[in-house]
Amino acid sequence: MRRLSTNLRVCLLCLLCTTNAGLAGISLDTGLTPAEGRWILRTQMRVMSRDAPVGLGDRSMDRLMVPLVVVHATSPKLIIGARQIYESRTMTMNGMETTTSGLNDLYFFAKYKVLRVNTRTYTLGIAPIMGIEPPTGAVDISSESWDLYAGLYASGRAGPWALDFNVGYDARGIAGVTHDSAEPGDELGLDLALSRQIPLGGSGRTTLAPVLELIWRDVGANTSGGTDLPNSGETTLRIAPGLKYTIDSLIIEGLVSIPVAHDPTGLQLEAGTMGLLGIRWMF
Amino acid sequence: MKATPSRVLIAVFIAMSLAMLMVSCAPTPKSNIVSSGEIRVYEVFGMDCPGCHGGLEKLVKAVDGVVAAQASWQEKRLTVTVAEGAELSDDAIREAIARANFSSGERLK
Repeated sequence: MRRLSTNLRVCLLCLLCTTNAGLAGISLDTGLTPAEGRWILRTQMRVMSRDAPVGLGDRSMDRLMVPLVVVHATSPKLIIGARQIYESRTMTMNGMETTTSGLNDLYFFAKYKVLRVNTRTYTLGIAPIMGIEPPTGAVDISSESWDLYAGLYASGRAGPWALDFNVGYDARGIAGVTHDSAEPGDELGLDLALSRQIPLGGSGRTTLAPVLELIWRDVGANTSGGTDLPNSGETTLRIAPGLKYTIDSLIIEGLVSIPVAHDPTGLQLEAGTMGLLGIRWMF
Repeated sequence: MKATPSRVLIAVFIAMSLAMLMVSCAPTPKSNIVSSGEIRVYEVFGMDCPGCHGGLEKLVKAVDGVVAAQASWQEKRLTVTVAEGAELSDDAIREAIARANFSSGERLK
């Protein structure tokens, strides 16, 4: 029983290690800051499943996340926002199922426009972002540490084509440690998204955009006393085809994120496919 | 049926999505229906989807002397209706366009 409990905690640690990795996808418009005074309300439903590699026991993890993001453009240059995720995780090990659910850590961020070029033929925008995530979440859901995020987002538009690029670094465990006295590993992420907008009807009120995203995440191993902990940290490359439907100020988006390469450092669960369905409203 | 956390999550997501859909699709007053007043048309660059209109129109309509504003991302144009007798400079409109993070081109009309 004690061994089972230890294994479950290892699973949980591995899961915490990949908390933010599960949040990638639909990174469009990130470098283009909205109009002053604009509010954006966004919610999604993300479903992800991970299984143990063949021959390494009966372990699996199902994860359901519903993030709610509120963003406000306080000026043409600065936007501020907050994100709260409600999450449910079910871990199965040797037929024993454990479900944990609750609110994850609150995340506050600010994005600043450093470049915006609008011409007759193309649009280009670059905006760095900084965020902080205090450990406000529920037990076994929270990362239990203060995390800092810094990133640079760039977006380009030319005719119906859109290209978005995000690079971000998540410095985790800058203060506070997990209940296992472990310091969570940092995360480096790269996202590249290509889409083509197709107007539907003649009014210009509705468009449909097929999207293709490439998502790369490198999560460092958790450490304790300066030593890397086993079975934590991984590198994942995902390809994510999706669709974005826009009607006036409402966007409905969906994608399927498929792992094409996964390099774990130990006996972590294999990266699984993630499904995402979201809605965004600007007002 | 047992209310598991997953079912609650899905219900919350669907309820929020429906609420956003209903509010977003609710009929809004047509911004371009104005019987009188000067009509001006400006080129605007940087709009690339239907969602861009709202922010720009809101800022332009807040300018003193503007009765209505309607943007078209496909035509890259902003049509502004000025109140009769109002003194409205092009600079005020261009400033509103800049605050929407777009760039103004020529005044076409």
